[in-house]
Amino acid sequence: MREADPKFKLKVRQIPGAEKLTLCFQCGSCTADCPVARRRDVFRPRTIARLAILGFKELLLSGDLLWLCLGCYNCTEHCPQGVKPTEVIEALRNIAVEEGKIHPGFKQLLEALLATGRMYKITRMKERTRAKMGLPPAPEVPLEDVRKVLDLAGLTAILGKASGGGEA
Amino acid sequence: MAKEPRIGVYICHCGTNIAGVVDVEAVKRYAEKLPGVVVAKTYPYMCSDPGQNLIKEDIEAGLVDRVVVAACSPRLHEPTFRRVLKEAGLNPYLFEMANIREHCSWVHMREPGKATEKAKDIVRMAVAKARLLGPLQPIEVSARREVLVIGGGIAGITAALDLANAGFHVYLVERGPSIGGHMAQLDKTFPTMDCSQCILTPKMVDVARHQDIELFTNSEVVGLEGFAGNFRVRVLRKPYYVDLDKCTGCGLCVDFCPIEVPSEFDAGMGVRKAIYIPFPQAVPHVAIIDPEHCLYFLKKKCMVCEEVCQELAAGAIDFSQEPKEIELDVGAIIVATGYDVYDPTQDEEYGYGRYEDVITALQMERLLSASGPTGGMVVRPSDKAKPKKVAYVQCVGSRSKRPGHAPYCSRICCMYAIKQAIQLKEKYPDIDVCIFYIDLRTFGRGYEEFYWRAQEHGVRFIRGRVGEIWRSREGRLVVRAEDTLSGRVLEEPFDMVVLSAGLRPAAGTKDLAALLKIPLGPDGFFLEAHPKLRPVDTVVDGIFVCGTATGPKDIVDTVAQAKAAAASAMALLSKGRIVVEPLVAAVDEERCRGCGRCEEVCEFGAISVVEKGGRLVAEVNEAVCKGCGACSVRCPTGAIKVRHFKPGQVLAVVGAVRP
Repeated sequence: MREADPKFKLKVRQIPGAEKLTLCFQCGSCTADCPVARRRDVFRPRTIARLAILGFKELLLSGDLLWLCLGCYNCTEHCPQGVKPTEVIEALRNIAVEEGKIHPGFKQLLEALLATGRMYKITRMKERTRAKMGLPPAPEVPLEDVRKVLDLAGLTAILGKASGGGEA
Repeated sequence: MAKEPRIGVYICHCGTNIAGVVDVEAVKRYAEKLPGVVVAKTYPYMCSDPGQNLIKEDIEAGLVDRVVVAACSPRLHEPTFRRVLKEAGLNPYLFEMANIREHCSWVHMREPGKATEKAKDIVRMAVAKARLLGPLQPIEVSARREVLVIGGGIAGITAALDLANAGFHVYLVERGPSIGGHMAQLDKTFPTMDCSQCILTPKMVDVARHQDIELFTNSEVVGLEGFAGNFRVRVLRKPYYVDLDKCTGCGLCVDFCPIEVPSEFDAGMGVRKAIYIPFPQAVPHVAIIDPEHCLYFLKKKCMVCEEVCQELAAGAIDFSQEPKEIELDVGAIIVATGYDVYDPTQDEEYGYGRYEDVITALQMERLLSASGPTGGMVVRPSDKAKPKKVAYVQCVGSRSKRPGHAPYCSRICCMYAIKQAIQLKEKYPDIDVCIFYIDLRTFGRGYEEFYWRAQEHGVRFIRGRVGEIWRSREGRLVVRAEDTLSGRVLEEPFDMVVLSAGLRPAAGTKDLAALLKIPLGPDGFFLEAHPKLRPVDTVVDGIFVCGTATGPKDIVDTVAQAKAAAASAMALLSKGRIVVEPLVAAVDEERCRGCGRCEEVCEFGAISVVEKGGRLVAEVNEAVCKGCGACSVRCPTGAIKVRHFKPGQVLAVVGAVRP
């Protein structure tokens, strides 16, 4: 049994978008409207809100729970209490990142961004498709500039302390 | 030569409400030194019997002749302390209240030092006014013994019968063609499973037959003037296009009428004709023509109803009828205008209006009713087949902050869904009924037991708000929800889905509120004067409100309120006269030049300029005046003043703001 921190909800509520967290009355509209919940039994936006209100911080921030959300906003649209579960999850991700808990998948993407200036590699096949459609080759990334921006945005520091949240 | 006033200041602890913040002993020592004050005392509860006696004894001993009580808001206990003065033989208007609770201790809870200083200021201002108070005599006006009841549902019917049985003459105005309201549409009522019509119909007939009730159906209130005890109401009687005295309600015209439209009474589950009798137990039991669909009114042809009625029946059809306005003089008004059911069409995820087999609970009620379009057989609207699985979706349009939804709980939906589930189980034991809910609220007497009964019948209760309903290829309705207690996402097919739609203020509530000058709450329902202590009063004297006009209520609470409203109207009118507070405008006729500016600014129509002794002067109708003071401000000569708030008295208070 992990320790619950009743003050955790106040911290979450301070993050813009998550102000109405404590209004959640656990009706489950969010889960019923969630495309991820239909495929993954572990993912319940309702449960995330519940755990956040009760303050089961470790349970929320470690593991890949928070990182399963697609950000489709279905739940936010249907929530009768105006809780905005998408943004609550976003807020919780921000707290996780602050504590250096980034999902390995996301971490890999960010590392790729730092290393190459792109999140996804432009494959030879993609280049051929571009040529076929009459598009010029993908432009070179001004890597130094991108790194400078990411550095100023604090991403390098975040990655530095990131331990990797949960198992991929 | 006026005697120097002898003021007593009585400071209340109000338990810890005041004394927990304000240093009442310090306020007392301060008050003792104020000019005119002869005695200051504190007491834990000044409104209690011993507290009141403290004041009484000082008056009776001749010690004080003006009283200041420093306690709560005058809205709460000003009448209490005025009565104390009266009982002790002092004019009750030689009293001033200093509000050191709502205006001080409650709002400055965390600053006791400053709160004590402010309490001293408030007491000082009250004492300054008390020095200048004069005796006033209450005003008495005559009161009529007729009462107008607006709305002929169970609330209006109950109030009308109680009043008429007590000897008051009642005018019952109903907008629709029959009285009965929503209760007439219901099959059974929770939690006793009484047949709704069986308990309602006799009351409807009592209303029709009562010698002290005059019924105006198909009528609306369109104008109001006057004041408590003496209102004048204008009522618009819309035409039936049928002579009510001749029509026997035989229904022959209905049989011959070629036009069919969805029936309002059957909530669209059945049809009615363009000439119709609203329902079998309607009161008055007569036919009415709907001019929006009747061929005569649309194209000037047909008239088959007139023909058959002339040939074979009473000759009651009369296409030439016109709306008629009448005037009624009444002493009090009871508003019992009820509710409308929320229209769930906007909730696209539920498919109401798109899928025939998604219906509202009121529509299900008509299917369950023996007098309904299917004779009590529950069938799917799409193919008339008996459903094997029925789902109920709770809180539709209620308990939601989404646009177009109501934030409040509609209170009756849990119970009516449980009731219909039991009815379905009792009619068809093999049927599967499933109720999707957020919270179940079974708060009334016998309600929780009723919920057990549904559970014993095997009704499934699933705690989860429904996300979406769609039609499968097989034509069944698939409901998706999370069973929040197990965390499972369900996608289950049903044959019918019933939406437990919430309650909304009745159409026209806003207009009626404007006409009667009574406020609405943020929810759009009529606002009562006090939610706990004056639940059926409005802020306008003589106008009462009951039933679902003030918000969602079940029949039990509605009837209780209707009886309360009737009793309150009786209490107001039974003596034949009403005592009005004398804190109203008064005209100094010597100074008045009859310019009429006061008449222009008066919101209440209380002032009129009249000729007296060959010259024009303003005259105040004291029963209508609310004492707002707008006239006093406007008067160029200072001739019109509000008693108890004369410029000298107000200036003394303002002057005392700084010591």
